[in-house]
Amino acid sequence: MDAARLLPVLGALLFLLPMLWSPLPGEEPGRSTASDGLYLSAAWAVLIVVAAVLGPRLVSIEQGKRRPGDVSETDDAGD
Amino acid sequence: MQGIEPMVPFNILVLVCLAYVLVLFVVAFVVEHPTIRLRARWLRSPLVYTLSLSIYCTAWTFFGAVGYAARSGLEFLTIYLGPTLVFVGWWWVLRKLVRIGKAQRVTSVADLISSRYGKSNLVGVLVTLIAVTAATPYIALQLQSVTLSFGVFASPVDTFGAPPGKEATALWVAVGLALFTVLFGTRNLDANERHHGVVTAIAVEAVVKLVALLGVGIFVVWGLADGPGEIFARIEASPVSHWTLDPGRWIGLIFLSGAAVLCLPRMFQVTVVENVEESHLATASWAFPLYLALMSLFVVPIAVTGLMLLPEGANPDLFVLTLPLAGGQGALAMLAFLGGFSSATSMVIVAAIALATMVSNHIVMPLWLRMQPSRAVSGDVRRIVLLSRRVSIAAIVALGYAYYRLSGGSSALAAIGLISFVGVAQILPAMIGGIFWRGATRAGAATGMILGAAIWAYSLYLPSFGPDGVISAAVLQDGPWGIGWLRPEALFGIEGMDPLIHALFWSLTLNAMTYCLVSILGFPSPIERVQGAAFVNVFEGGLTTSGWAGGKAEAEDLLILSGRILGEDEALAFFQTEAQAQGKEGFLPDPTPEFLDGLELRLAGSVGAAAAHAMLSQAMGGETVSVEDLVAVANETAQVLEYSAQLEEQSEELSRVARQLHEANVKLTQLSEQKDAFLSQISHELRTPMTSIRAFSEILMEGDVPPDLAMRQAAIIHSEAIRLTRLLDDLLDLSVLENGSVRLDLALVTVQDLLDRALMAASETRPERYFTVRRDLPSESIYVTTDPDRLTQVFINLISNARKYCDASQPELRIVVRQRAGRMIVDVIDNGTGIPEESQALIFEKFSRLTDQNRAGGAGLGLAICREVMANLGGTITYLPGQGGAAFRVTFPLRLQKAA
Repeated sequence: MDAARLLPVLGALLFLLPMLWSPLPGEEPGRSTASDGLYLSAAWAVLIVVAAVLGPRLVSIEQGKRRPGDVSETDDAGD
Repeated sequence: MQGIEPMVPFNILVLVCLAYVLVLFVVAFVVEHPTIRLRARWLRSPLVYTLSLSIYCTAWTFFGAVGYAARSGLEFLTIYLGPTLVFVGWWWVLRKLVRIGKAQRVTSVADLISSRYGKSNLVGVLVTLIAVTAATPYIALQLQSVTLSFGVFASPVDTFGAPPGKEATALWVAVGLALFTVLFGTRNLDANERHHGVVTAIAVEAVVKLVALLGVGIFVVWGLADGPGEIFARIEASPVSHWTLDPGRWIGLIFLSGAAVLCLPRMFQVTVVENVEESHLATASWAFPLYLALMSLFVVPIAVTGLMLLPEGANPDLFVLTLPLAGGQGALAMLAFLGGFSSATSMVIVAAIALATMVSNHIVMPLWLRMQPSRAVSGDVRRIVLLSRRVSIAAIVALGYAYYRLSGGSSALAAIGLISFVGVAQILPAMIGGIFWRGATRAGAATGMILGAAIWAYSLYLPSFGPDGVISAAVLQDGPWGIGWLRPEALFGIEGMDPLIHALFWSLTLNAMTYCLVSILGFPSPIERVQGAAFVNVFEGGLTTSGWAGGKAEAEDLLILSGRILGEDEALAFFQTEAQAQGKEGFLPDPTPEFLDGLELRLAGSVGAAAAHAMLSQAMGGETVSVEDLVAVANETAQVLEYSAQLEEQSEELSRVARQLHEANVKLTQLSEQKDAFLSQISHELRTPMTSIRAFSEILMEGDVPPDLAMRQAAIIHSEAIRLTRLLDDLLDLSVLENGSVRLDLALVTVQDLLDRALMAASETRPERYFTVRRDLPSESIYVTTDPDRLTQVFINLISNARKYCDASQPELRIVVRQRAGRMIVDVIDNGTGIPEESQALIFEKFSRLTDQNRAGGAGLGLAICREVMANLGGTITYLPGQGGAAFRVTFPLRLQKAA
């Protein structure tokens, strides 16, 4: 669960990183757009994979928490 | 590559579009068909859910992203990175929104916010206005892109200006979209505002979009270039790579798109309202970012190749179409055209449905309700709701068309989309604050949103109509009335900021600050507090709003009201289940608070929380309960509950004690009566012999009595004295036995011996009567250790009692002897009328005698003595009812141990 909470923070960090090596506006662009694109795609892929791994686990945690609890809630949500 | 011929005549293109729409129509229709809906479980799968989320990718994405990339390089990615972060972080916000949406049966984003802030319609109207205003340019954008793509196909591409009949095309597209949306979005009034058919059609369109864009991408990378390697080199060489990353825009746009994916009415519709199961979010959390990533994968290659191959001045927003056309790939171009058409139609349909729900629930219905003079809602509400939604859909699409005409369809696609995003982002503070902060108030949300929306309109929306569009060029340049620091694009004199980021920064900052400040300074009303708790603590569960105390509504009125909204059958079914839950027959449950809450939620699913609340309030006589009342009632109830539980316990104990006391009292009274009776009896018994003794002894004392007479008189005196002695002996005996100081002489005897002796002795009583005695001799030949004299005394008593009192004409005595678990059981049963039930408890008491008949000189001590004897012998004597006569059971141990 904590991993799920931290994941967007990690994602934001990864997505904001290019700002660090980007030149100030007006300066001569000193880096490659294509490799920036590759970097962002890779970061994106990492997020997707981690989310895909976490997703089912979170669901099972959630259901494990709900099942012994009240049935009425699930009933209510089910229709 | 230069001359691109028009590939398809205009009317064929229209036919293709119509055919495509027809297919969607069939998909939606089939899915909504009841039998299919039940059978096909995959329709409710997370896959369909994820694909339906793809309405985020509108024509703006499909066509505009390439144009954006051609103009600003990788910046277009921010539009996808924001939603990716939001979905990857679903555990934070989305999960809560979905849970709340289900718990409160939220119908739209306006409904969510209005419900959170005390079901306030003011807030609902605000959100609706913001959403409609923001969505208008967006819908215009879709119309524009479809019109442009029509233009590409139906006219020579090199005349990229206005192809003839452009306005007419846009108008027809708008009319067609409105029709389709009305047909699908408002076919029925779903209790949960879910539209399975539409969602599935949207999912199909999502696949078409993705396949089309990937197809064009693959064609560009492997068809027009030699694979990724060459594309990589081309990117480096192209003007696209001259873009500069502006950190302000980068952060701002990521944040903005993340906010938009939460607040856009159409996204809220598919993410929260149409969500079937919360677990689908888990799949969407990675699958939706994946979809976005795939959609953006080939954007840069397409942009770069388009810039390189197509003539100077070609509209980059249309590269997705023009590149395959230029490459001679007619089928691929048609696919791309359908992809763009899909993107536009799906967005317009869902946005129109979502906005129409909001407009109808928060603006039309409240107005209509207010116009109803009487308490009872009359007329068919369902028809009115549906009608208002249909009209709203048409009006919203018409607004989009109007914006398109007004703005001249000239601005770049991406710019319009972002303006729209900043508008809906004004809802964000109220939404996020509403689900995480209990102290947020309606006033705060309203003022925050008003201020934010005003700044947005002034600094971004109105200027988007162009100089002299709505705001004059002079005002744009120098500010209103020449006040420089109020210039729309440089508020507070801060110049040089990107206009978009400038508007985003000021509107959201001031919005959030006002929201917090007013909330902190103000105080939430009771309903707000209750709703706030229900929203913020949705995962703790169990907290529901309960405001329907002391209602005056009749169940029948409510049934009529809900029948008009839910439909007769559904309303009847709902009322019947509720009535059954209350344990009642029929269709009319008691209007308890629980029932009313359930009904309100149910109605909210159809007309929104605020309208449902207002309708029920009307039906209930307009009573509203203040928070203070609620809290006071709650406190009192808790106290009363506790107190009454204590009272109940005490009263139970009291009544138990009272019962015991009553029994004891009855017994005491009876005993006292018996005692009185005995005293008079005993005095009589003593007095009679005493009198005769005295009289006869006086006669004897006088002396001149004949000897034989004297003899007789002396005999009388003697017998009377014996009677007295016996009486006194009995009394003495009893008192000895009761004190437990009796001495037992234990011996080994057979039961038979005991009974023989007893029968012999008892035969002296009323010897004139003949008694049949039935015994089972073998069963009696058991040796027991006991005090034979005392036990015999008991048997004598029982047998002589039977001889005395048995009123049968042929008296019979039965003696049954058994042995059970180390104890002897001897039953002595006669065939008389027995002892009446009310007397059975008394016969063993001292001085009790049932009747005066057959009084044989006993003083009513016999059975009392028997009881005491048996107690001393470690046994019992009880009356056995139901044996067809007087029956006594004597039990005693086989081996009596001498008391230590």
